[in-house]
Amino acid sequence: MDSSETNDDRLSPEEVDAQLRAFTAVDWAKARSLARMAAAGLVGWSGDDLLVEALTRLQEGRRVWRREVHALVTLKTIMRSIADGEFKKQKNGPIDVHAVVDGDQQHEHEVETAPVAVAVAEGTPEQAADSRSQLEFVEKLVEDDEECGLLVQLWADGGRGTEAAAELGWDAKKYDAVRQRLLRRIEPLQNLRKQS
Amino acid sequence: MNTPAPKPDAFDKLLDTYVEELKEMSEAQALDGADPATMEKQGAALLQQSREAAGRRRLAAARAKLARENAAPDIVGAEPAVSAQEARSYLARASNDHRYTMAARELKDMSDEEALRLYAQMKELEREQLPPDEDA
Repeated sequence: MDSSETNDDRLSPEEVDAQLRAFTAVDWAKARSLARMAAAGLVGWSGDDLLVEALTRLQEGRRVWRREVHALVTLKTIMRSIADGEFKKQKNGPIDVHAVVDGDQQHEHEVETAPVAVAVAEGTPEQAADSRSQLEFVEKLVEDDEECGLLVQLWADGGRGTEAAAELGWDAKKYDAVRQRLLRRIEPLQNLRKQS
Repeated sequence: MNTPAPKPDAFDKLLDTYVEELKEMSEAQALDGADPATMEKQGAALLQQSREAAGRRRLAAARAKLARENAAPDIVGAEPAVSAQEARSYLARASNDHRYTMAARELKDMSDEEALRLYAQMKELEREQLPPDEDA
């Protein structure tokens, strides 16, 4: 533990609330997009479910938001932690990830969510169950789209933006198009609900 | 607890990369055709949902604490009191134990209250897993 980290660099609950209330439409769009990616491969969790859980833990005071740390970085850290634990639980626990049900039930993580349509358009529960990691799930999800697969590999190696586009021989427009395609393929599995 | 520290996670790195992408993304790219007013309304609804959930959990925690104190006043305090720093040290050691899913990096962003809560929870689990006697 870094002894230089003190309670003083943590936002108070009131400050956390003020920061979140100040979110613009673009802030929400970015946070929700990040959440969709962070929830990839989790059966029964949509991106919004994961985001709400992260926001809840921040407001509960279970997780902290350090001053000068970007909102997306804070949310990413919390969501990653929640998703990692949940993915391992789904791998090891008695949850039947093959089950597909409607959205009327309460999640075990006690976050109320609106009922959603059952959809198995892209990722399937089987793909999630067969994946040893969330990255492997994403790779399987785009295995029929070589360009998306390349982008996933590049991001996992830390490459991004114009540098990444150049490395792949793409222009900025193509990079953006592949990125959008990748993000749109991430979402459908999140609409699945597990059977309790 | 000789389990080696977990290898850096490639998905974690992917998310870090995506965060940087999002930070630099234009408004139009981020919204991807969504109506800003609708997005803001939906975001506010998610925030309200989380606020209500946090309130319910705080209330449930307070009730549970009160119930424990009322049910067994003599037991309260049976576990030697530890400081938040001591609890964090214990959790840091536990993060290298394969039985727990917590990663060491989580500790940095954990509040003192959460560290103490987890410490108490893990101590309770340890007590429950102790064999009833030493006959083997």
